Amino acid sequence: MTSPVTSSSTISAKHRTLKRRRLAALAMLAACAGGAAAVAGCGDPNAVRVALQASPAAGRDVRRLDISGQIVGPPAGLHYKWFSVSGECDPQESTLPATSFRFAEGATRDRVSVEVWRDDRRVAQSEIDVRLDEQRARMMTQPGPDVRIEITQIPPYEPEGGDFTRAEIGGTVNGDVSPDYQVVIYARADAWYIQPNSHAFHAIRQGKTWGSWTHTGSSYAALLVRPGFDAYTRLDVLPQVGEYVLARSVVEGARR
Amino acid sequence: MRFVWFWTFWHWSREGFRAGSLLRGPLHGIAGHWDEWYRHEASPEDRRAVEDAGRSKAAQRAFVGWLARHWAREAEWRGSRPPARFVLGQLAHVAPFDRWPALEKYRASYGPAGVWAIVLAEGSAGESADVRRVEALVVPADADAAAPAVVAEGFEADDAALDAARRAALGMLGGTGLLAFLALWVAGGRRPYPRWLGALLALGWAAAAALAGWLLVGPDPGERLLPLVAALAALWAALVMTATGAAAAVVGGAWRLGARWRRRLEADQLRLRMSGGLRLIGGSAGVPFSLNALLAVYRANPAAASASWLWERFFRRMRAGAPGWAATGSVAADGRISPVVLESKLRACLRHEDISDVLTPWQRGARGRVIRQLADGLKETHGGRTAAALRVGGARLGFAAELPRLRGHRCRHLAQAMMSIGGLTSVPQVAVNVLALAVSAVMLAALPDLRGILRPPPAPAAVAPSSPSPYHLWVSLDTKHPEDFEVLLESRFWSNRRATVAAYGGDNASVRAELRLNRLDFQTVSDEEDGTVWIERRRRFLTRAFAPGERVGRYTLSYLTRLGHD
Amino acid sequence: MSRQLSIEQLLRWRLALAETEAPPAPRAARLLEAVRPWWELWPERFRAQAARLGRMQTAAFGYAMADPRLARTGHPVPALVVHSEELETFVRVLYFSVRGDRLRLRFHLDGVSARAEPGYEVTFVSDGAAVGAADARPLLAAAAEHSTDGEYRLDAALPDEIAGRWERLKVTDPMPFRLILRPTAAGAG
Repeated sequence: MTSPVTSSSTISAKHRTLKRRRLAALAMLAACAGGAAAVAGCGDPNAVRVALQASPAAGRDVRRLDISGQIVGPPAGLHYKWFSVSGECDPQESTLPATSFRFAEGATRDRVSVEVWRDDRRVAQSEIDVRLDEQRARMMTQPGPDVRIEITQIPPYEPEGGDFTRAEIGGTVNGDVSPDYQVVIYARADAWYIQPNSHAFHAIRQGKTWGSWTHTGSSYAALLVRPGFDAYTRLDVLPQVGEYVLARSVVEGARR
Repeated sequence: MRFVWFWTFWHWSREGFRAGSLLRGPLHGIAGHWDEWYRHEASPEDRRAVEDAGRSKAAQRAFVGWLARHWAREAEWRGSRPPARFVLGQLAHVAPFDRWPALEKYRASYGPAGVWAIVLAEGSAGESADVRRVEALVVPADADAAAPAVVAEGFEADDAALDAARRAALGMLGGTGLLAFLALWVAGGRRPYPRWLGALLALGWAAAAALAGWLLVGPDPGERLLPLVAALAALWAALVMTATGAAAAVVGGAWRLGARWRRRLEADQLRLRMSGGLRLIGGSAGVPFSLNALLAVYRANPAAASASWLWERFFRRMRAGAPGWAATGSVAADGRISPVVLESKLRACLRHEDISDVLTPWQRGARGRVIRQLADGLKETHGGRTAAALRVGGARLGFAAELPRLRGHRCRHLAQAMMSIGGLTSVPQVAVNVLALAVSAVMLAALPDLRGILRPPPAPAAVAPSSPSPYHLWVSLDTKHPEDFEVLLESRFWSNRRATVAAYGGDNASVRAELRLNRLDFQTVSDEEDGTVWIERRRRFLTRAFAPGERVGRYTLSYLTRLGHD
Repeated sequence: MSRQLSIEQLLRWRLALAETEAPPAPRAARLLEAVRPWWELWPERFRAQAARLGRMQTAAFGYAMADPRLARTGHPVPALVVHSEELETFVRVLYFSVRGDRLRLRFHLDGVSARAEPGYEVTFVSDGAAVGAADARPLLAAAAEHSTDGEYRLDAALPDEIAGRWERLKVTDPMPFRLILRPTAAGAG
């Protein structure tokens, strides 16, 4: 005979089964949530932005500009459509983000825009206002002032050069020198490199002298330029005198 | 209504307490109150009815059954039902119940025993009689403020030792003791999953480990990198959520129920019964007292355990297995178990037929090797134990049997004892946990890489500053994740370059790639501004770099050279 | 020569023999002395024990239960247990009821040695602690019988004057007496 005072009740197997099923459901839900999170976590990977840059075209046609697009986003599979207000883009459709623009006759300003397409969907667009460089056009037809530049303090001859070298360079300018003229210095290693920093312009001092420090190279060049000169950081061939370049001097490094 | 006289007594007791003639509450003072009522207050009719109830054993059993099944459920004192076993145990010692055979078993026992205690008699070298039955009961608090929280019946012990055992039990229901128990369970305890789910989870962790290993050392997955990483991340997340969700549910349920039980044990009186009339010296019975205190709390309301899988499992195993378990060890209030003198106690357990497992402090003398040596020593001394004798045709045959194996469970803390006696430790779970921790450590370390693959940062734009040095090209990017990108220069004038992006400080602080420009010996164009700079995604998994990802930016060399100088 | 005796003769002979062997009947004074209370027989002893009782400070019980709001306290009653030596202790009154001239009392002995006497002769001494031992006087004596687990029960007749004063006492009130307990050979049934 069982004890009449046994009061503990057994937990039903059904209740235990229900608990286990709840836990299994929790596991499945967790798996789905994890998968959903993994999928939902991916944003739009194909978003594209474009910024346009205009630069003078090579050659003496001041009415022509090279328009290039800077792409932020995956460029694969994109093609570009070019538009302008009055000028002409060539090509008007391209697979590369670049075109050549020409001002219309008599026009000095324009707006060039680009649409970026992936398949049949436009994914980005941008535009740039361009202006004809009239000053350059004038300079091409007018004779330049009578000015000369010399390098009197010649740095040493060190053909390898490099940004861990340093030497002093200086010189004079003569002639009809305007106070807003500036000097741009280059040193040659494997190419001509502007000195001592990118986009460095050197003012002309009182007494018509100029000076700075430079990295060393095999040769050194000094250009006397008008305001607005676009000084290339690196050059294969130095610009000739004309337009913005008023005078230049090129010397070999001083051999010890 | 049957046994009205008992209700009459009960009401007299309650009213006497309320009126201030009785000091003790009706429950704790039931024996003395009955004695008083029966001698002086009962009417002749009541006495006759009592005599009738005791006239035969069947009638006596009927009364006992009525008291347990009906009266105990209907009676109420201070919001609690009186525990029937306690009431019967008290009444069994007073007239006329002290002469009733049906109450014989309640005179010496509250009912099923718990874990055995090993208390050596003076001079004993370890006999089976030193393994003593312990019973525990929780009873609603007495109204008598002088009543102790722990009452020792059948033995004497230091109040401090009893209090320490009670506090240790309280701690195991809610406090640092329970935290230790839950931590042990999380680290290597059985889980509540069905078997198939446990196997599936183990397989899942193995698969995650294999996948992670494949990504680290296997061949470049190429285009399949994204789906592989997504699968790994999803699998790991699901496994972590399942494991932590299940563990949190179990831990939360155990904590809440433990808190309820703790409040009950704090408010109630714990009664410990151990026969023998001993005066305990030292606290070496602390462990069995604490464990039995827990069992008593459970037995007071077993249905409540259904609210917690862990407690329910523990107590189910403990209730079923307690008759085969003995314990010894001094327990502190925080649950830590201190060493005791052990050899004689182990000998006592080896000599006791019913003991298969013994909980001991963590000490050398409790190692399995030592127990086996003791067992061998006893076998040599006694030549085995005679398990039974059979008379066959006048001859008495004895069966020599092996001494049963005794399994020792060494514990530093009461939580470990609970894990052992509850059968909660699971070696496979420990292995899965180790694997899971290793995989999770790898995944956590690789989280930035995984994010870069699954949710790559937006394509950055090239920004200022450009390099002040003409010999270098700086490609500065507006990104907070430089490690996720690489920069390439493709040119027909300059050497092609590939450079990583990093954060630079100083005057020209920016996130950028620095490329050293070298003119080609055999350039195919004369345009020194010929060059396209690509921004590419970098894909890595810890120390492994995968094939470059997609290109997400395109710039001309002339644009980047002039950036910031227009 | 044989002597045949009748049953009656045998009985008479036996009676005569018993009367010869019987101790002398106590004197009336002795009988009177036997029913006098012990404190009248040994007043010095009573005064000494009462004085010792009077010097006992009432202890306070410590609270062991968690919620003192649910608890009630009794007031410990100083008691002197007179074995071979005198033991100072306290009793807790568990039940106190005065109905008419009957006192029913149950008490529990605290801190006494393990042996549980089957019964005590309980002498109620007025609580002279406040007024000095000299004013301690015996109130009544009664037999207490062991009930269960260290509890003793007592059922005694009270003098009217005492019954009137004690009728309204509750078990939680301070008791107006102290006790001298002298073990009896067996419990008074």
